[in-house]
Amino acid sequence: MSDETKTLQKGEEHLISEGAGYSKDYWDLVGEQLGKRKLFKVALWILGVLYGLAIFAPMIGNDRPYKIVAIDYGAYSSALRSLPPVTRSLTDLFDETEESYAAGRGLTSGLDLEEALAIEREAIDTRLEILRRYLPLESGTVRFEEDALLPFEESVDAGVAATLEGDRAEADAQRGPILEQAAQFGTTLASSRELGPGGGGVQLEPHTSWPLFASLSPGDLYFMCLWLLLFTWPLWNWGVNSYLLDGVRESIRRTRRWKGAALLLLPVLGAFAWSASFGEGAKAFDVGPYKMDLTRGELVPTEAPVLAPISLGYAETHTEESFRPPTWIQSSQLDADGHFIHGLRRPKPDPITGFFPPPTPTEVRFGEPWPNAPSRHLAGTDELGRDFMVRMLWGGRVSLSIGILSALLLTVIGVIIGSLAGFLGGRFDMVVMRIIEVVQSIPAFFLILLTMAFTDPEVVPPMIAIVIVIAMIRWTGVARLVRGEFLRLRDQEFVVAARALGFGTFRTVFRHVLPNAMGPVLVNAAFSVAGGILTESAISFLGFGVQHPGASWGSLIQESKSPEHWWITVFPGVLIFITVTCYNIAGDSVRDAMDPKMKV
Amino acid sequence: MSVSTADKQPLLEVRGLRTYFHTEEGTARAVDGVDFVVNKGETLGLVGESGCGKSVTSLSVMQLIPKPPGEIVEGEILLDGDDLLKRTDEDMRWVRGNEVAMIFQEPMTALNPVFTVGDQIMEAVKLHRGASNEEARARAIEMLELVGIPSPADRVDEYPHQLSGGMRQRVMIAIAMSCDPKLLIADEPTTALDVTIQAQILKLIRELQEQKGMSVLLITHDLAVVAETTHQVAVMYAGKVVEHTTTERLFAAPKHPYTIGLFRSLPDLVGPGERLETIPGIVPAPTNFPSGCRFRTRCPLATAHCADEEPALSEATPGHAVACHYLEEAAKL
Repeated sequence: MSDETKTLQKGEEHLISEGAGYSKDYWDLVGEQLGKRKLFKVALWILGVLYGLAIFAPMIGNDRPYKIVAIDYGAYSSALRSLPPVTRSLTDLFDETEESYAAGRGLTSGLDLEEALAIEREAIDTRLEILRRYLPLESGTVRFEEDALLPFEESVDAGVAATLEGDRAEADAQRGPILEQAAQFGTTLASSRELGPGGGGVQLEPHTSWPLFASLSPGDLYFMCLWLLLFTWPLWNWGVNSYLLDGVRESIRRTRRWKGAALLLLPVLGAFAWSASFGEGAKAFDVGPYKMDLTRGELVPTEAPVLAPISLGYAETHTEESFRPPTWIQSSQLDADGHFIHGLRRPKPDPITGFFPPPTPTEVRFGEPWPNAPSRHLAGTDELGRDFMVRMLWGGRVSLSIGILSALLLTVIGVIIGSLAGFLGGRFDMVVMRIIEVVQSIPAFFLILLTMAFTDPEVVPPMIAIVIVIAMIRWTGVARLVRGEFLRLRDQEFVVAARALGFGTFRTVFRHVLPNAMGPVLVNAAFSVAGGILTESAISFLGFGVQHPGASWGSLIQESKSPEHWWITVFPGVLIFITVTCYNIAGDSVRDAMDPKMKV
Repeated sequence: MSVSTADKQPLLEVRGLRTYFHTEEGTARAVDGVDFVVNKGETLGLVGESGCGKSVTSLSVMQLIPKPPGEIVEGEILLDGDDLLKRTDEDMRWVRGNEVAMIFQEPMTALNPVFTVGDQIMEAVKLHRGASNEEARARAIEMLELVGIPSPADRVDEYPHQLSGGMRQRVMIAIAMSCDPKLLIADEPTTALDVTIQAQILKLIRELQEQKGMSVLLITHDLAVVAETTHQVAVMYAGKVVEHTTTERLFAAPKHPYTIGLFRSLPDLVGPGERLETIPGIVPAPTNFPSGCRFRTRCPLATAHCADEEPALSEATPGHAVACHYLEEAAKL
């Protein structure tokens, strides 16, 4: 190469190195732009915290204890008491043969003898399991060997086998000892508490359980891990970049997509590991029996149970505390009778009889704050006295996930249809655009309401139905956006250049054109999340959305329309407002940061 | 510039190519019977004013005419004697990038803004050569070095917006050259660049051609570029080739009235300032070409015969084909 060329090239290089960030790539620049925006950072933090609260709702507001070491006298004695009758209904089947059972059973029962025996056998097993859980097998006042239950179990199994084989004599022979043993257990195994002081009995052993963890599903755990990973991402990123990759720019760039995959997959592994160790998982979050049993004294802890920060279930009712304002407010103070002390709701004597309304003292269950403690109901209660704070925590799960899921679905649908219409053009484009116009000309909200009204919540859960309906109606905006971008990009030279290099249509559309159109799509997705949350709130507010005892922010607002119950409207309303605003700010900032003209 | 007369095997032969666009205003005969030959290891300049069908010709060779409305109506495009128009789409995809590569006018828009230049070179190499990531990356750096980009190992990870126009055109050339094509089609590669960079890019194309022995089809409207770079020239007017010869002969003695007019309208830097000559009239619309010779509406020599019969492109002297009825009269112009 000649000297002339070389000097000119040096000139060019000089021009470049003076330009914006020589070694920075596009995403570095976008990140840098975003980092300059304080409002964006604040919005992201607020969203992060809101999602954190929603994801960790089962660990924050739950009536189940994290860990409890206790003896369940209630369960033990009821298992012991019900063992003889259950045993009797099993031995009653010993008289039957296949034919006689089939002839004698009710028309509605489709069971044959074998199945009926299995059911009774299982009922006995359940009880034996509870007994074994608390029986002191190695220590205690009365030394008790597990073998005491084993002969009983063996006789039961022998009897069942004999009946199935039609060996009446053998079954009859087993019946006596079985019933006798079951009756004996009532006295030999009675707990020392039941027999009272000096009455002897078995000193039961405490059993350790983890009710809260056991009721988490692998999905819950996945999102918990994902959230923790994301929240501490800068730390991980820094560690990986500076130690594993020695800070080499090229390798950092190349590992970018591996990091993304790890971010999504590591929590999956975590969730699987967890479900293998706990196994119970995936239980519906109903109200557990633990708190009531603890309150009644049937469940006796031997050490203090570890409770959730707000030890109230999301469907746990305190009917005596109906519509109680937030307890840190003076007008929420109650006297011992459960009457309000201050404000308009102070009880007045009946104008005719002169009597005061009857007292309904506030019930304080195990682990709950005292009735007038400011932390008792931080956001008040609803009509059934359910804690509103816990309901908002759990409701956020529904609202926030509907926002994300609907935005995701409508973006995917819109991008696929829009990119094909924009790239293929011609008749396909014409048909798609007419369909979009038809969909857009239908009043969307009424279509959503109509669809929700005709959707059976038993078949399709309302949450899924809302997501699908929102996506089916709102995809048109994205499709038009993507189509427009494609029409703009289609005739750009780099598309012709890609084809001139021998790339096929598919590769050209989805690898070369689509990434160029993604900027506006991402911004639109951020706004769609906000739109989805608002739509869900509106549907639920009108009563077509999430049904009791489930909750979403929209359905919580609907719980009372009386201005007297201001906390019902204000708190969920503020949460919706904050979320939607943050998403809009985030979308705006991303749009500005991705605009190439902003990069100077 | 001397033309080697030995070893003149044709690489690309275009015969009677007609590409029409069926629009609502009627059929636009953008390319209407184009013939030219690109010899092995040589550069052919395809010259003409805007709208004469140069770019459509090049896109027709690549078969990248948007269909509809475009259609290659007839003709032959022989690459090494093999008709490209008879190939399947699949075969044609292999030809593109592998045998024939193309660089474009606007280096600002011809590179994909969201990928690094390295990615864009690597993609072609991976697709056509089945190379692994590491091989493709090594090839990308090698190519960037070949086209004279300083510190290619760093630049390979940069995005197009970080490079200047000249650099981007070099990258375009690197992408086009990455699979060692036999033919490089350069569609006005220097139009969007300033003059100093133009010279560098042309020089680079010339050097690469000599080094790799490939052929180049250079499309331009700039006669200075033609003089500097090409071995052969085909002059196009209104969808047809009107003159086809070596660069040397064309610049020594242009024979077609249109070509003569073009040379007349170049500023003469020798004498005192004079008014530039122009070719009167405008280029006819491709939907409505005049009958007979297409240049007759603007030609000083036009007669009734020109309207009746279209002059064929034939050799006036050996190696110099012209499409005109009145060559003797034109020589006196």
